Amino acid sequence: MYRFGIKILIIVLLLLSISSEVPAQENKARTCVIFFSYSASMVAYQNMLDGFNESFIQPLDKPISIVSEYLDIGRTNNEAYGRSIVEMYNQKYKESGIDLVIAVGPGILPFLKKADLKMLKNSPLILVDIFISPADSVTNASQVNGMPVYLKYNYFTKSFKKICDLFPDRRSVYCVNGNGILDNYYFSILKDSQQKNSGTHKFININGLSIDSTLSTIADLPEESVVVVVSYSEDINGLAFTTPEVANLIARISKVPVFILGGDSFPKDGGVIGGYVISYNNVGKEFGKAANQILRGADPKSIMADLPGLYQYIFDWRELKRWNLLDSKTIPSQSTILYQEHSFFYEYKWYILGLALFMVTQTLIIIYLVRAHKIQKKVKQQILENQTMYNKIVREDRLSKMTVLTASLSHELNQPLTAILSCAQAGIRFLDSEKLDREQAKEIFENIIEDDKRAGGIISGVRAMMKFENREMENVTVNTLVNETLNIMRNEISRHGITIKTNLENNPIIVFADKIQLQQVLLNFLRNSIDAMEKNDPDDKKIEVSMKLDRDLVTVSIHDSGPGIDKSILKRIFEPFVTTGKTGFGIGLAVSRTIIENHHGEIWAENIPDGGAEFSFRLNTIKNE
Amino acid sequence: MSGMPESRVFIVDDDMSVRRGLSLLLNSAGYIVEALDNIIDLLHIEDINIPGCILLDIFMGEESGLELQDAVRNKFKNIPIIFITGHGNIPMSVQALKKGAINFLQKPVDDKDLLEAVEEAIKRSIILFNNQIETDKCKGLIDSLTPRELEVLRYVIRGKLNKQIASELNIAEHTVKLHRGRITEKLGVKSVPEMMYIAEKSNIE
Repeated sequence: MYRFGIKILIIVLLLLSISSEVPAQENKARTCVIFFSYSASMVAYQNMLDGFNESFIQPLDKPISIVSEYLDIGRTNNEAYGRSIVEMYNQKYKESGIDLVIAVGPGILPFLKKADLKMLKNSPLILVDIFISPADSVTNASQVNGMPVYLKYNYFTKSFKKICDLFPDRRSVYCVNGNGILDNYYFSILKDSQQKNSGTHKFININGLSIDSTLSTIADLPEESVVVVVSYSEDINGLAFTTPEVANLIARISKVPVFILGGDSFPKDGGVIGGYVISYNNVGKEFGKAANQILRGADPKSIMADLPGLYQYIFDWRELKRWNLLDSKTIPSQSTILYQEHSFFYEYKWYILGLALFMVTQTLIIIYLVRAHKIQKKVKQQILENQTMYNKIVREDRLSKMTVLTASLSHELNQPLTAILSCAQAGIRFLDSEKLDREQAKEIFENIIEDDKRAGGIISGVRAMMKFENREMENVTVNTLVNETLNIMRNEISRHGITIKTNLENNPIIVFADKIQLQQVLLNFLRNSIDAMEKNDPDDKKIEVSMKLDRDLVTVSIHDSGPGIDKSILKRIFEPFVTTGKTGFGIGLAVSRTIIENHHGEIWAENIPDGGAEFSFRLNTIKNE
Repeated sequence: MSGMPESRVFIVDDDMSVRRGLSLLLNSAGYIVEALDNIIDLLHIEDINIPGCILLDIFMGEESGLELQDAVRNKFKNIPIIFITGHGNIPMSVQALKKGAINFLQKPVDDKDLLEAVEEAIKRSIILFNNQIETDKCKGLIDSLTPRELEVLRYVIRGKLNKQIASELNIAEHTVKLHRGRITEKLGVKSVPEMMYIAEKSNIE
């Protein structure tokens, strides 16, 4: 059972005369006794002692032993008991004496005044008592031969103001009080605070009732009201309670908000919206600090308790929510909010934010990777497509060459075959008609032989051209090569109505080369010239093949009378896929360049000022053997 | 029909062996052959007054070749052209026939095919020549008519009666009869259908 009030005055009483002399006790351990007015069962005392232990620092030179004494005088208001415990403590501290007294609790000062505690006579005293009015404390303290320092703090006014601010529309404030000593004390100091807030609100006191009557009165309160449980330690019938207990009972039946003003703790069972409650831990810390200072010889007048910190606003989050006050600006920022139900997000804010950040980062990385993968895939595909396209073009070029070659071959072969067939059939006819003479027969056979040889020559020529890849380098006479190549093309050239002129060296010029490959270069050149002159006037289709020797270099040039090479492609004409006509894929000249470069020669094309284009290559010669 | 003296076969081929072989074959069949190595030489021949045919080896894809071929066809209307090619195919043969070729042969050509084609072409040539002679004769007869007689003839062949002709030309019916008598005499015909034949041959309507 707590019998401890809410309001506290800390008065540090200092008996100045003692501090100066400490006779013959230099090496003895000192003693500090804390007298509590009630029994040790008070939770508030334990909280105070915890606070004291936190702030009290043992002086290194003269250690202090701390002793707690529980007088239990609050309830036992019995003079004989009082005398006997005084006698007991006189005996107990006769030897050691007391170096510092800390007196805690209601009614402690009157007791100490009456009691003849000898060992107190010379000791400094720290008084922690809520019952001492400022005026009292001065006189009373002087009677214990001390100099009181008290700090006044009236928190009721402030508390009522807070309640009025929270509920500006609830104009009736019902203040509930019990009838115990404490309750009556509170009640006596309540009026002044109520008056200060009467401008906006009306204050009605409920006291002098039994607990049942109190509760039934509360149950019937009008809606626009607020209940404030001030202090309730006994009802009118002497039934003992604690203020938090009663606050809980009231909250359970009340239809309006319930506050608590007194009491040593905030009601745990819920229903009470809030209150201005003392922190006993802080009280303990305060007198611990005061003890430190006094034991170190500080000027007692300078000791000030930091009182505002002793009280704190406490609110029940659930109740604030219930009365829609969660966002109210009137709730002090330093309030302790109990039972706050954090939303999942609030509770795990950092985890969630971290997770979200991680997921966003991961998503971005995935998106990036997916895109990168796509781009890579696209590029790969592009490369593949290009490769495929290239292969296709090369294949088609080969195919088209094959087709051309096949057509050309069939034509070339058909000529001698036609001649052979016709001659043979003519021979038979002559025989049948018996007109065949010896001369004619011989002529026919000779024709057949000649044509047959020609056909064979065509076939072996083609075969030679086809298997050039495994050919080896040999000594090639350029003059012969040019003539042979022209012979291959002669039919084609004349078919196009082209006149051909050769201007070759008289002496055989020999190069070390792959004959078929060189022939291919010349064929490409000739093919190019023939194509270039396709649209020329039939009388103006000329090809001139010339050969020049300059020291050990031989240059072979083929000059046509075509329109010349377009300037836009002149520089690139030997690059693959650059084409002069519509017929080819632009491979022939590229192949030619490769061949000539493999022979360590030069290849070039130019437009001749007099008209037409000239394709040339130059090779190293071998000295004539 | 072989050995027909009054006919001639022209061979145009740039390949000497082919010219030689085909000439021999045609000789063996009794034809008189003239072999040329290009088409331009053929065009230089002034005229061909006897039936015959042309064996033409030509590169169909070439524009100049086609033009020359047209020139040949226009110049020698009574001489059919047989195409002979070393790399023929169906589209090419269709094109050749559209261009007025009488036949299309592929090298190497069998003697039977060649001689049949030549024989057919020469028969055709003879008909063309005979047509020409007939037409020339009719044209000559028509030319002997006076302008008025020609006018009357036009009405007669359209089946008009003398009376109608007189009214159309605003002359006396008797005069019409006189004209008709002279026309019959000049053309040497006895009936209106004969008159109509001559008029038709001479392209008179």
